[in-house]
Amino acid sequence: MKKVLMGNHAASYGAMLSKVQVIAAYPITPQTQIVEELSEMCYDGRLEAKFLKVESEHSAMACCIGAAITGCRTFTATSSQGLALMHELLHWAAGARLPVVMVNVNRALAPGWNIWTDQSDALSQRDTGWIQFYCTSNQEILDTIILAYRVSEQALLPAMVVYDAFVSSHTYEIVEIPDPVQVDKLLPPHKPFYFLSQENPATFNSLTSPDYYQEMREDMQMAMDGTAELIEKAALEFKEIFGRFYPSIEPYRIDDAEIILVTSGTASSTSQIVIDQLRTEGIKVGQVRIRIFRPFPGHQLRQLIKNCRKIAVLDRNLSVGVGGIFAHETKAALYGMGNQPTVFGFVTGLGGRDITPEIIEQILRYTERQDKPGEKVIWMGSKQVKMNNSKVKI
Amino acid sequence: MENISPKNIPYISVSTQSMAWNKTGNWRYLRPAYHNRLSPCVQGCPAGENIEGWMQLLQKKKYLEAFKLIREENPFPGVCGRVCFHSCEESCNRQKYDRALSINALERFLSDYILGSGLSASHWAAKPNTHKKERVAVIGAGPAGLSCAYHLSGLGYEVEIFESWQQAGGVLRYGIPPYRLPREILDWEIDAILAHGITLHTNMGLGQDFQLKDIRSKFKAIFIATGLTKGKKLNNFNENNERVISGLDFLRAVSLGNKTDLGEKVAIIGGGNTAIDSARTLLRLGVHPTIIYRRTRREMPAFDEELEEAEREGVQLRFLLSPECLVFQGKDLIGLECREMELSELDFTGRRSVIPRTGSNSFISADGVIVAVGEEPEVVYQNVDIKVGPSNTSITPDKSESNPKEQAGSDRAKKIFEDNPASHEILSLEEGIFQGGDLVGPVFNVTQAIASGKKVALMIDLYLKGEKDFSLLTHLQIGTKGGISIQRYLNPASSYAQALSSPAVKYEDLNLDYFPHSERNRRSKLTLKERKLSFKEVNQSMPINTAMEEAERCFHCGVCTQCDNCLIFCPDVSIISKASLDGYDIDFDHCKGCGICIKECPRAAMVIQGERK
Repeated sequence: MKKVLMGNHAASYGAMLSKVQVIAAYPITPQTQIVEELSEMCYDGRLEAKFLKVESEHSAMACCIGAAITGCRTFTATSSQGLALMHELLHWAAGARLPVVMVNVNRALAPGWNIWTDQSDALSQRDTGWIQFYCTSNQEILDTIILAYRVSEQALLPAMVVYDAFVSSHTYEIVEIPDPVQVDKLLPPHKPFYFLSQENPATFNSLTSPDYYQEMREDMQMAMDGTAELIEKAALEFKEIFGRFYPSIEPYRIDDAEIILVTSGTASSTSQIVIDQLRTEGIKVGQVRIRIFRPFPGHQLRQLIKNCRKIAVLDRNLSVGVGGIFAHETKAALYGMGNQPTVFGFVTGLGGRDITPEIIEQILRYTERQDKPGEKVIWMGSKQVKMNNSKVKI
Repeated sequence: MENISPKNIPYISVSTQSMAWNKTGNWRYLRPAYHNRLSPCVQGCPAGENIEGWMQLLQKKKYLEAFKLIREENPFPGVCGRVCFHSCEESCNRQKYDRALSINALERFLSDYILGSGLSASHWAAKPNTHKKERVAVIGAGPAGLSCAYHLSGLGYEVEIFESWQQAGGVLRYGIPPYRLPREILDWEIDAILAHGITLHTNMGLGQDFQLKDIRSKFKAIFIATGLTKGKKLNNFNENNERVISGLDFLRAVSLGNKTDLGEKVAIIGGGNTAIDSARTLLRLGVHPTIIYRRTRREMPAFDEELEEAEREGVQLRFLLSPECLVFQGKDLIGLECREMELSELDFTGRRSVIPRTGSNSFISADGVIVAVGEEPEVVYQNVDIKVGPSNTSITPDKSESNPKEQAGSDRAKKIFEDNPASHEILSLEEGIFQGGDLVGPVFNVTQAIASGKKVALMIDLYLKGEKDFSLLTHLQIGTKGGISIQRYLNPASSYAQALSSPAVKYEDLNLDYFPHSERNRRSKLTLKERKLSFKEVNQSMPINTAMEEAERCFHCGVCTQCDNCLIFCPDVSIISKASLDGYDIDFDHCKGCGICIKECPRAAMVIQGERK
């Protein structure tokens, strides 16, 4: 059945079809519609879940953790400031190895107080041990939530499903609603190994001495490494049942590309228009869209870009002092590779500033013209403003 | 579909051991405790009822126990549930939240329930004491006398009541009309009191049919509670006429079934409850009443409810008029000439006094006149031959025109307790003669009379045990301005008695997060049509569902109701239920003294104390 849904409501449907059992959430622009719709679904019985209104995002994650440790499938959603508020508990959910799934609508972090799209919020949490999925279409949002539960419950690491504020969250697209019976095939009820129970009482995650802690972390690292394979397997099964395929990296016209643009989020679809246009001029450009940020698909990326000369990474985020985070991860993934393409790191579109085809064209032409990036961070689309510090030359 | 479970159990820490060995209680420097405190309604009841206590029992549907609990302090729940001015409701903390609890209506509900259940008094009245102590005489079977007899009998004394009229009840039968207090209710409660083994002599009036000296040798103590049965006369007004009668005489005549012909239009002079009762009674007899009051509505001492009902029923009210003389046409009375008044300075009761307006008179048309300007003791009482005791009190107290709306918390009442707790009740310590009820005041209403009877019963008990100093009575007072609790007298070490000496719980002490707002349930009344020419009771009883809903609104200020809030919120799982209904046990091995239980207690039934190391 097809419906015209906004991105946020596609997320609600994803959670509903995943038969989540506990939802604990706090509202924040631009996520509010997700939980509003879910509360209606709980109210009219389409979803049999316990809906907890909590007083902050920190409490929301705490509730999800509490519910998850009893074996429930849990869901929450947040954005920027809310995600930041949850930070200590993001570490907790991952360290406790709980399969919580959360939607984070990418929004800029304050100050300046900015509600528009910016990837820095989710990427700031990249060390916490959460799996991260980046979506561009509303269909993908709905489908990815189901996939996220599937993968998360196997890896026993929490997962966040991330998409752009307003461009995705509040934009309406046609979405195919999967048949619940088919979803159940891909995603059977969660059967945890361990959970709080009165029959077998136990205390989880208590005081741990230096004698035991390191191995817990090593176990998490290994689990995250193994998640790449789980994601691929799940994607194949999804394709078999529903006909839609979601690779970890989605390539576009890369076969003979000399320059490959690395994108994520909704800028990806805009890029494809520019790539098509430049191709008509004879410039051999292609694009890879990264869907999975954690675990970073370094191996696949190497495979896809091994024949190009230059990589232009489009980051709609900033790690202050480092530059764009996708660029940073890309460089790390390519380290040690023979015949490494040169990586150009571009930062643009922060705080919801539009990433227009013109900006993407500028990025690609710059990359084409220059042999080397010339700077650690190449800012695109900035206004000429008097700033105190000079840019770092490399 | 292949098995999608994770292959390995993740490496996390799990403990299956108890952590109880870690006695975190030694971190504590503050310690919580359950400590029942005084509920403000209990302090507000002149009769000293444990209102919070019977409300809890009512909520638990223990109707019989609730009824019995009331009767430990007050043998008149049916009467009070109808005619009491409910100062308990004025003390109720809920009024600051939304509306006060309908305590009065609930007391009445309980009595109606027990009456309707058909349970005989043997189920709920205490068994009469077979092994009696001394004999005590009570003169006057009004609320004060009956209350005193009841409590004396409960304390083990043999009591004989001497009542001058045909039946017991006093103002309850001969003053308050049946549409406020039905006779069946009154008879039911009086019978239950007398069933204690109290002997009642009717048609035995002190000063008329017997003198004190006739009975002094037979009784070790005597309580005089003959009340105020004579209507006061107006100054400078000739009342001598067959169509002019005092309010008290009128009401008594009606309750005896005697015909009183006052014509078709009657003017009632006065502004108190007697005037209102007379007016509403006249309406029901098909007569047109007009109340004439020399001050304004705001100064009227009658109960607000009574005044409102009188107006609804069609009683006319004329203010700022003072009667000067009767007006005749030939031999027939046709009306009153009244002087118009205007408001002046405040008098000693705090109300505006009045002075005549120069040169203006009004004529009020009337065939009959009722004078209801106050009451005083019968002249016959003043002729009683007793020795005035060392307390040097006169036997005819000066009942100044005070405002019966004053509660026990009035400064005057407080002062009496402070100066000498028993100064007005003792007539003669040598002879063991006491007085109470309306003879003493300073507040003149049924509930105060009932309270007075209880107080004197305790005084007589102390006196007969050889006590001459009654300062103990101050220790029996509930809170700083309440009535006397006989429970406290009988069981001074009980937790209830101790709660009574704590300060009353204030609104600010409560945690209101746990109480949803709710409407105050009202009792219904007869329609005006149903009231016409009928003495049927106007106020209806609450149906049981409404009563239970209303009882749910009680905050239970200061008393643990085992709501489990402390238990739920204790982060150390250190609060434990116990079988008895008295608070909870605290596991002090693990309680860290965080105080969350005290903060989350909705009703301030917990205290924090310093930890003794």
